[in-house]
Amino acid sequence: MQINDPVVIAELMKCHEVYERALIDNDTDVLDAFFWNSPHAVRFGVMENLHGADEIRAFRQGRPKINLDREIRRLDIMAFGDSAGIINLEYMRPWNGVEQHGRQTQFWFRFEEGWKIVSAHVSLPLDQGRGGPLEAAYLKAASAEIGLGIDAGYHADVTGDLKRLAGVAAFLMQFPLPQNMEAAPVFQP
Amino acid sequence: MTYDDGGVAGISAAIRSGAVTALDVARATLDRIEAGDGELNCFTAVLAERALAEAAEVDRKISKGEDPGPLAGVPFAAKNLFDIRCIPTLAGSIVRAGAQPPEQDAVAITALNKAGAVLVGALNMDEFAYGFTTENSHYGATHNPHDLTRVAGGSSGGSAAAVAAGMVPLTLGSDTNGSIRVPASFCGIFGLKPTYGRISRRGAFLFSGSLDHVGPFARSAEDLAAVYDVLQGPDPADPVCTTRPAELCMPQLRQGVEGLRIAVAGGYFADPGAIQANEAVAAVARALGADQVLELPEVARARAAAYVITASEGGIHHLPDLRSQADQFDPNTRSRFLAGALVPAAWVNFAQRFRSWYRERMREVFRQVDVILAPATPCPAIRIGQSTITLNGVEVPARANMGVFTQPISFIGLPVVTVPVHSPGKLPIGVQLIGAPYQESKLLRVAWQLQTAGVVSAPVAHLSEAVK
Repeated sequence: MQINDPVVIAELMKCHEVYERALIDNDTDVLDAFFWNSPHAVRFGVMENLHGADEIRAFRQGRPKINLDREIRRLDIMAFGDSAGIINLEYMRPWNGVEQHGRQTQFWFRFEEGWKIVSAHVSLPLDQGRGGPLEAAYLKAASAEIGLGIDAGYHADVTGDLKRLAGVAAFLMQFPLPQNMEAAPVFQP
Repeated sequence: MTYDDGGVAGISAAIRSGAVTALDVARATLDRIEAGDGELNCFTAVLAERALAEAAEVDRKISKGEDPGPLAGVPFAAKNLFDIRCIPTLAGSIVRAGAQPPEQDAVAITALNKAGAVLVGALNMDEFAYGFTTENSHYGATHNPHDLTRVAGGSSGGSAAAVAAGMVPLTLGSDTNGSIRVPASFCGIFGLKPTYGRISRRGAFLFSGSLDHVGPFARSAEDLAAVYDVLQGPDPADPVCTTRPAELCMPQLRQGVEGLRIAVAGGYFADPGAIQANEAVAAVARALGADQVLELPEVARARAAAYVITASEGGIHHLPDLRSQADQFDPNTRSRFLAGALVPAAWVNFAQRFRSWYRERMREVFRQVDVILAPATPCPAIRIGQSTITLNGVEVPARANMGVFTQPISFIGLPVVTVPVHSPGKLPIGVQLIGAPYQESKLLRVAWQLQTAGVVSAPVAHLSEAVK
């Protein structure tokens, strides 16, 4: 069995591109056609657990058809032999200026009628849970500097909040603020 | 005897005319609280003895022919972050449950007492005001009187629910990022977040000093005006309180809206997913003949800046308690206060400077218009325990995003009256009437006009009819 045969990778890449276009356009016919039409198909979304092609189809029909655009940050395609592949990607989707960082895993299998997704999983890990090593290191250093001992049991939540704050602050600080703007701690409206 | 539909104006008029005594009204109020608060959980303290004494004093003045004040005998209650002498100022926490009770009432409470109003209790809130739902882990969630399975909004949830249920006609709350406007929207009542610094905050436990306001809830525009006129005015002991003399609203209340330039906030504020919110704004705009749609500048960044300042100031404010007893904080606020205490200065300074920039742009906007209409919340009251809502097609955390439309406004201290829109078969939802600094009277005129036209109203939510 050949791993990552360039011909198979190219086929999966083509599938990915068509699927992505259909996702952004919310072209539910195309999306449904890509999913294995079987009660064994699975799609775990950010908020929903869908078992079987019928549940997946019903979810897509009921989804609001707005703001589905997303920017792919990283794409990894793997092929095992000529009939099995995995597509992993990370994406960013803005909401009110704050980026949501999501990830998606799809397992593809080639049937007689073509490549189909048999299982998929989407999640938003960074926004909902904990921060990364950067936040953990920052928490440790900054809390020590101000004499704030933080119980290890709270670290996950606090680094998550720091991560969220950092995202909000990064968006804020992209703004080209004129130098002559003064802070107004006692504020006169 | 019931006074629950009387409102501030009706009750004080009845008492001053001698139709009823202040003592009778106080007793009836205490009975209503006793009967209804088991289901709603609005009150964290009921001050029966004090209420009866204050009511008796009003009656004594009337019997002697003295002026009992414009709010004679009107029962009111205050969010439990206002100092009330002889009981600890909880601010929704247990960290402060053992604090020394203050010797003096907060300035706002004293002002209402002086006008003849009768304090009956203290009200539930999110811990240290850091939330939009009043799901307090220490004192329980406050329930929405329209649907007991839903939240009252927050952080002044007890204040809004107590008025909506007709337990009291008047309450005090505070608003940093939406804590008056969000619960007013969810509970279907009127709320006033005045201009920053317009009402003294002395004796109110602060959350984020750069952004904190205090203000009233009531069930009509004239009630808000009557109370606001009593509350406004300089306070040399509050460094944030304006030195401007009081600018009374009551005399102008019934002038109508002719001559006022009213526009609808578009773009950021017209989230296509916020269907009921958009319908409410459209109904209000239609009634006012407001067809101009305004794009406000950099609103999302204004919200981001408010978020950063709040986190930092809140964290720093509680640093001593976070050091010594973080485990006593509500799990709903703890990590945010801890993270806030660690916010880098660069972010906060930038946010404060951005605030000056944004204020300049909004001053330009207010050269073109007098009043801006915007939704108060993206949806009506959410279920207790609900963790996410769908906004703009994206699933987002519910608690953090209830203030999406309120935060960018309080960020620069603009005055807002929230007016309630009730539709048959639906939960109520609020619309923000936003004005230039110190233009509360224009907002109250608009609110009165809408109320007179029947577009907005705050009927008492009778618990017997609530969804349970």
